[in-house]
Amino acid sequence: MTVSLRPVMDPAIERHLSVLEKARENLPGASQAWGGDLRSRAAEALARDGFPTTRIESWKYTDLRRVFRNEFAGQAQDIGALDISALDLSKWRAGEAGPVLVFVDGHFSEALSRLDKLPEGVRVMPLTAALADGASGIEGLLGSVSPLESPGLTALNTALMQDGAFIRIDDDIELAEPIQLLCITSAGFSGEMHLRHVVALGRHAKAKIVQGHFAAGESSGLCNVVTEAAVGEGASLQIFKRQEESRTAWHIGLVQARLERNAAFETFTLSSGGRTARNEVRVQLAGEGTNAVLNGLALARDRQHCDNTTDVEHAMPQGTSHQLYKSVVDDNARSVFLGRILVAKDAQQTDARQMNRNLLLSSGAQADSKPELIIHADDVKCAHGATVGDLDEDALFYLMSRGISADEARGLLVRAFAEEIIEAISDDAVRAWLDEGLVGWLNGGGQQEKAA
Amino acid sequence: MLSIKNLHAKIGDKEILRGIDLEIAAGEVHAIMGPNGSGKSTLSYVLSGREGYEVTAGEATLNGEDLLDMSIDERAAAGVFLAFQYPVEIPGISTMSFLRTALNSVRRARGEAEMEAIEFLKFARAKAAALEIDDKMLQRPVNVGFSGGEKKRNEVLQMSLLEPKLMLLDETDSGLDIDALKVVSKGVNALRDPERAFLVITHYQRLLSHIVPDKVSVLAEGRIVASGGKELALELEEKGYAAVGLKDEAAA
Repeated sequence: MTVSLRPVMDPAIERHLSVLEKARENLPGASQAWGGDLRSRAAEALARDGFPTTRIESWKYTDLRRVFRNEFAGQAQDIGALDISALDLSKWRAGEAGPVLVFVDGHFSEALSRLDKLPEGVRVMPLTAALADGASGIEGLLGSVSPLESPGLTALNTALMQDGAFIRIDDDIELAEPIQLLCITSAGFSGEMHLRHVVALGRHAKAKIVQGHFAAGESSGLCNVVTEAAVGEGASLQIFKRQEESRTAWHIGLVQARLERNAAFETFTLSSGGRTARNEVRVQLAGEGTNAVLNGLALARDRQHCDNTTDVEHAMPQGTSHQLYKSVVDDNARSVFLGRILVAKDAQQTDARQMNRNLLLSSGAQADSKPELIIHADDVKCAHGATVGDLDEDALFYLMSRGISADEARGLLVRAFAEEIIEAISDDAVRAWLDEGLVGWLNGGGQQEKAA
Repeated sequence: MLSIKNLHAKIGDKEILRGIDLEIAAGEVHAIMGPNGSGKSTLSYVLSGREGYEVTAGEATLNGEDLLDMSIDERAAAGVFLAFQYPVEIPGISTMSFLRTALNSVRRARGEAEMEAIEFLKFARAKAAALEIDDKMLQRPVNVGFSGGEKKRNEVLQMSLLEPKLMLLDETDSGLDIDALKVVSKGVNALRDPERAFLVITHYQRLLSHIVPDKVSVLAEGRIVASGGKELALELEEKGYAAVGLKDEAAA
């Protein structure tokens, strides 16, 4: 076997670096010295490190060359030709309550967003506004959880970030309604969008974030989104992501959180869109007694490739992390789960569990599952497991023997398999929002987008 | 009602049914007994359409309709109901929603109006109460964590909701204590009707003293080797299968 030593990413990197040079003055934060400096350092990191290749363990099954083989049309300069007044956001919103930030092709749309009536101690604003305002407090936070060395496309994201959300919740403030971040791709979009969400929760603060990625029609662009969250002592953050982009589009997403002492963090990722979709979640349990829950559901058909990769770092004692990822794979699609758990020497009494279950609906479907446990402490509980199977023939026969048609029986069994993790979500509006995504997929969702 | 002629079926290369002839009239309860491996369960699976069985010869009709030509769900709509020996556990689907989906599927297929949720709830609760099935059980996933008795009561509940014409009871008494057996038998007997037929598969006379058959047939090596009235079951209980000229199962 020969391995090419030539860095294959070079042309794509060069292309992006030249985009940065040309667009620099127009990118948000150009007025702040630190912002410009950060972009320069990001460009240097990008030129030095390149994009991850499949030789890197956490990118073993997802080849970014397939993504960057496409010469995307660059970033949109504005919201463009999309008639936003015709957009029906209600089908994408998780209920009617709470602040909503809408991004169209990577740009914040004030007209579609709702940021009034924020409670005291809650700041929610577009990244562009936060970068332009020297007093917003974003300076010390941007890149603090997801530094340039973060794997994946974080350096690229930092160099070219065009918008996103900046969310700050002060100490002891509990926000009941979810903060909704909706990223909409217009029909025919073939460019790139680099979104950056920066979240900081003070001590004992509590918040939920809903992060939706939807398509208004068939598109072929790239969405590169990084969500970084600093979760303060005793604080609690939940991030629910629904990725439903066009099946000809590309999605590379990272959700990264750092938990201080006694903090709690929960994520759920429902991913059914994209030609290739990568949903990475990285959590650092940086304080004692923290609790992390990482759940996900990948739904893939046709020739889709859906990758869920997790990295949980237990740095301090008495942390718990529970992960349950499932996939339903049909046709010639492929799901990937890579789960790494690192337990540091000091992280005694860690309880880390990871489970990956995959349901294959056709002979051409494929699921790759790879756990990686690195344990340096001696007093820990760590468990992991993975299953791959097809629909239970006995259950199918049982349902059909009661008059239920083959198609309906299959649908019921797939839904039953997938629903288990959605059911456990306590917020009614969020649970319903995720359920809509699942039911939409079961009903062939995404296939009708050509007609839209 | 049910007419089976010269039915042959195999699994893979193994022939299990080797020429079954059986007529069950409407209103009749017909018990099939026989040693292990004689083909009793296979007969119920072939009639209900389970995959993996190949019919190589013969026919089976229900009120003149060719059963073997129908899919599993079409047979259910036509009136076939198999009460499973081992009802299948299905996590993630609540019993109530399963029952409603099933009922509305057969109603649609029979050209009847579907039942709305509220109406169905009342209907199902009344039927469940008669079988001593409480609401909690109906909220639980299908058969998951049910005791042996609960599973069999759930089978009878489905039977009473779907109102089939031909009931196939596959070893319904297995795994039941005497109290559960009484509840289940009572439920089955309540469904006896001049328009319905029952095929009751069992190893033991025990069930037949609760669900009293009109006729009893003995199946051995894929053929019916003896037939008679309910007294045949008592004779088998007393003398073993030697009574019909077979080697005693216990001695085999």
